[in-house]
Amino acid sequence: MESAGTLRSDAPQETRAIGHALGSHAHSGTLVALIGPLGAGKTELAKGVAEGLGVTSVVNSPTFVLMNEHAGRLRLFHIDAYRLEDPDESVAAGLFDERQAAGVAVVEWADRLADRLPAERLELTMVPEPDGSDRRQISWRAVGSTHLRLANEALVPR
Amino acid sequence: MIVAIESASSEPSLALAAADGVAFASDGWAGEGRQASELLPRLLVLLARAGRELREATALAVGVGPGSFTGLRVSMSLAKGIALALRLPVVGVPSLGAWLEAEPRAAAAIARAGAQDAYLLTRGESEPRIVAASDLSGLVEGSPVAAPSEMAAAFGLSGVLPPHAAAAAIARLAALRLRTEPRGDDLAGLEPWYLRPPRGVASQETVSRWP
Repeated sequence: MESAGTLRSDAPQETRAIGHALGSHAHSGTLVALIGPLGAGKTELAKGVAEGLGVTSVVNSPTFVLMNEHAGRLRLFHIDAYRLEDPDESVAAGLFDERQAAGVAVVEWADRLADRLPAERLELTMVPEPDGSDRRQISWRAVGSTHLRLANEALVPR
Repeated sequence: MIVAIESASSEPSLALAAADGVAFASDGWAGEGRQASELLPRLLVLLARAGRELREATALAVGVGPGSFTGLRVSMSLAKGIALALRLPVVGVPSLGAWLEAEPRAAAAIARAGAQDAYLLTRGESEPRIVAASDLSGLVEGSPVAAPSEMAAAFGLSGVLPPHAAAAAIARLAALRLRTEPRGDDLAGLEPWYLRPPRGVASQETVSRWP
């Protein structure tokens, strides 16, 4: 079960709004995988997810600690794979444990995890326009019933 | 006295057994994934209720998994810490086999493998395998299974027997091993068993599950 689509964001606050919609509609077991270069808006989107989940603590990129946990409507596991040198390190570090089945996980630099990333996920690839503007092309791909439902509720225009 | 610790799921267990492996005190409970703050205090209460002291221990027995990532790390650390401090042998015992040993009615033992998959040990098989959690109810087809209660609710499993007596079974199995291997396992080398690291999608196009 898989679906896909494309969105456009013209500004950081639009990227954050996309995250907010995801956080508002997220179900337990949601895994949001973010791919894109530095400055593409991954953390902005993660902050939006946190807002949508009602997280009140400060959300920053967990670049050095690898994973932060935040209390919200559902528990948010915010993961940053930027500093991993090998996908297998994500296993040794326990970045994907069974507690995430009852929460929401957001992974920045998800492409660095290659096939260590769990199969069922909502993957968003954020591509800045070459003109150097704030405009981003965001393509998404949802795998598994939980993520199909989430994409349908939060990303598909109605 | 053998002190046995099992924490491969959110329903951990503890047991105190005589040197022959027969448990005389045990505890098992549905926790909330807080083994780091539950296991040691409950072990101390179990010892106090039995009128025993930790320094009377002669060996540690610990479930090695597969199962909960952090749960196994907590129980392994606790068992190794006590063994190191008291200079005692430690014996690692496969968890899911012990769950089946503890629940003779169970046709299989099931634990979580990450957020999306499960470890399944069917009675009669020697090794557990990883399956998609969403396939579980079809695989066990209503047979009684040893599994944490939260998985019963999440995956529509009926006839679930929580593994609260698993530590007593681990003490029995460890006593058997200590008869022939009195030094137990290598303290530094013993580690949690996750079967194999999770493997997700192979490519952008095809969606595959862990085998």
